Amino acid sequence: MNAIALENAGRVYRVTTGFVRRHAKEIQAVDGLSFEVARGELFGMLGPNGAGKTTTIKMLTTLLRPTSGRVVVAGFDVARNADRIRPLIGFAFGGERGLYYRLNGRDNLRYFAELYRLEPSRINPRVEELLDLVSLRDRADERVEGYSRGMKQRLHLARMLLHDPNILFLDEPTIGLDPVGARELRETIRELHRRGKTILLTTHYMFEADELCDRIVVIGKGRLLASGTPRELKALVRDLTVVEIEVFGATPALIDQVRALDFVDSVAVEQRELRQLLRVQTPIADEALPRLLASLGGLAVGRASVREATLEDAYVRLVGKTE
Amino acid sequence: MIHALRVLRAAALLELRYLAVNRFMLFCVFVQPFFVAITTMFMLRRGTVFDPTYVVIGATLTGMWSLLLFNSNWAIGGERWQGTLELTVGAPTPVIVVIAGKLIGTTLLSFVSMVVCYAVGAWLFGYSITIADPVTFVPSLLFMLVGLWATAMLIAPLGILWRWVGQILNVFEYPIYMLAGFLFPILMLPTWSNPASWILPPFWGATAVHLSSSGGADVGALLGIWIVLLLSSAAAVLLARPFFGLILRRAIADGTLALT
Amino acid sequence: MVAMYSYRGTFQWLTPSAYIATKVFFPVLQMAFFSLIGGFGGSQPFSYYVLGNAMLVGYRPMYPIATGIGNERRLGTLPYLIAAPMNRASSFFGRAVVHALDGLTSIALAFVIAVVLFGLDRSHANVLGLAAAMCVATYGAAAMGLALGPAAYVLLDASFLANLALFALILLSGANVPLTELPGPLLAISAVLPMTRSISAARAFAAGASWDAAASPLVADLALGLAWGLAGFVILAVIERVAISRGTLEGV
Repeated sequence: MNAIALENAGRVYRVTTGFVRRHAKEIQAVDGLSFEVARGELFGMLGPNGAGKTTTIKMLTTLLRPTSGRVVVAGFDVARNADRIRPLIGFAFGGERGLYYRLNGRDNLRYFAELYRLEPSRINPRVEELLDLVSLRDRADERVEGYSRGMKQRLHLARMLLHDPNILFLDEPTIGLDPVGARELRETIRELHRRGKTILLTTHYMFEADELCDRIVVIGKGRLLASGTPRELKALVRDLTVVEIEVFGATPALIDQVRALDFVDSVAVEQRELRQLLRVQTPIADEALPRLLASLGGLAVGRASVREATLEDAYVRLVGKTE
Repeated sequence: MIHALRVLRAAALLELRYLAVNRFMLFCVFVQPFFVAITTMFMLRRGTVFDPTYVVIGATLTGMWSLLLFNSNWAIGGERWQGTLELTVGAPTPVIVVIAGKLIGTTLLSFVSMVVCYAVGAWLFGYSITIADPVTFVPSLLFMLVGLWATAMLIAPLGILWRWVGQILNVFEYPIYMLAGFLFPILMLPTWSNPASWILPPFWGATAVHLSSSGGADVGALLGIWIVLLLSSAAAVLLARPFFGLILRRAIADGTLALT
Repeated sequence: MVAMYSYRGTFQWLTPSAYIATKVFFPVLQMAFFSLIGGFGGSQPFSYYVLGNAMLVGYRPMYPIATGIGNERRLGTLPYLIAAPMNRASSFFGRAVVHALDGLTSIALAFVIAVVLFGLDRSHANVLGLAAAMCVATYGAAAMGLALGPAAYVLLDASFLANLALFALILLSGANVPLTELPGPLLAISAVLPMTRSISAARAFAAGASWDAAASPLVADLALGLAWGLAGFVILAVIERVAISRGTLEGV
């Protein structure tokens, strides 16, 4: 039996606007999503902001009801058996909120330990064990309101593990962390994976998914765009070359013209102050650069380079988003 | 059962830590009853039915109810604002137990109103504030608090579903003061409103507390009032349970557990 | 325009039903509560408390005005407001206008309810004088709000101050307790509160007093309201100047 399974899961939000005459609008946050996660797998869900990752994870953690399809966790339907799922899963949405800022780290864990029905005699030893795991023991008596972003993230992780669940959900666990903190957190996630936990994490960092995950799904606008192992996803762009050109003053109209060229597969634009970095994916290798330069007309051009496509390029191609 | 008691205790202590620094709640428990007591003292002291103990008790009850009312919403609204409501709902312990514990903590804090109102009557105005029958007053007061807590449990779930409920909560403040007879008997109200008073636990609590503090009822009558008070409180809690469940299911369906 | 946006910003979160609840039910319930206490055991006739508490409903603009100004700091919009090239006086006072008009409809409604439900006798009333008293009371409350908002930058918070002011009005404005029964220090506070004189003028007009006989307290209340409003403007100007020179505008 899979640990997690979604069958055509969908979620529609209804939003009303206006004061006297109220207008209802429907937003499809997740649309016909299907995938499975095997027991013991470290599974990544990738997508840009607004793709539906958080909505999906909230459905999986019984905090949001799917409006269509079926979502099953640990063999139980989230819509009908939420109470049976909750003791079996742990989740960390991270961020600045989600902790009692007037309590210290230790008391936060003790409080949640009560909510998770730990045996009273087990609470203190378990709390100390987790404080050691996340390296917060020496700061455990300080109020959470004084914790850094990274410390809060580690405390979220500790809280998630209090009742030693086998299925874990992590929503963008390393966002906002400095590189050292992020690396430490990824190592902790690897350790949990080694201990046999089933882990589903969401991220919009491709390299993180590549580094950690057994399998990945890429979602965009609530839909499944691709799924597979990191190697399988890289294969999507195996025959592509990426030409990076730095330009000054490229208008959206010009970029659309470049996109429309017959040898261009996709264009991603990164705004860097007054410059734009165009990343053009193309099946033609050596000829691409001169032809692209010719298409830019008299636009001022900075550096240009040609390289092989990476997993990140595969992701960019799939989501097709201008950054 | 033991887990539930531990959660009640943990939630009560957590709530007390937050209430102690919440200016609005401190307003409810200190400032409001202070002003209500002073105003009512001035209003009634030259009248023919003036009883300073009645005013002190009545003003205390207004402070207690206001604190419980507003905190019944903040108990949930605060969790949402801190980002912990989803974590609380997502835990195996039913949310109703957590909220019950928080409201127990709130009830404990509400005793401060009694001290404030006593100070107004005894020190500011110099009246002799005495309890006619302390032996029946203590259980009357305790059962009254149970009644207020049970009533607040019915209102608390509304904050899960609609964030704006907290902004109009005032609408439940004065009606309870009036229907429960905190500072004047319900004889002052139209008779068609009496059934609304009779179903409210605070009405029976206020009746018991006023009778035992100002005198005028024997133990037999009070016993009957206590029984009705406890039964109506139990009914309120029994009603709150499915209400919580219904509201939570709706909130999960609508996606209103988080701030965004 | 500032007035309209300030008004919308305050009430944006409300559905129509919630708006009616705050605008209609709450003031009427407060009116009923204190009137019935007075009716139960007060030394004055029931109508005394009904009229006083109906006039008190004019306090309504004070709260959204005070918290609206106070919220500029919490929301971090104060620097933008200061930097904007518009007349500060008109934007400061302008925000009170729509709230004051909104308050006027509340107090008018309170009087209708006082007559219909509480039997307030209007047969002898000088209706125009009463209407003028209502306008001045609402204006005074709005002016008080303009002072409480900036004061909240220094003391406590706007919501706390506004609620404190409301209870002070309930006790000291003459709505529930005859001014002659208040001890000296409290009477002194009563004299500087807006609405005190409007309420006494309203009582006179309700009893049928002519305009000439009862208008002077209204003029005094108008002047007092202006003083409150100006005080608020000055307090805010001083706070802004200090914050700009210290570089603490966003945390002011």
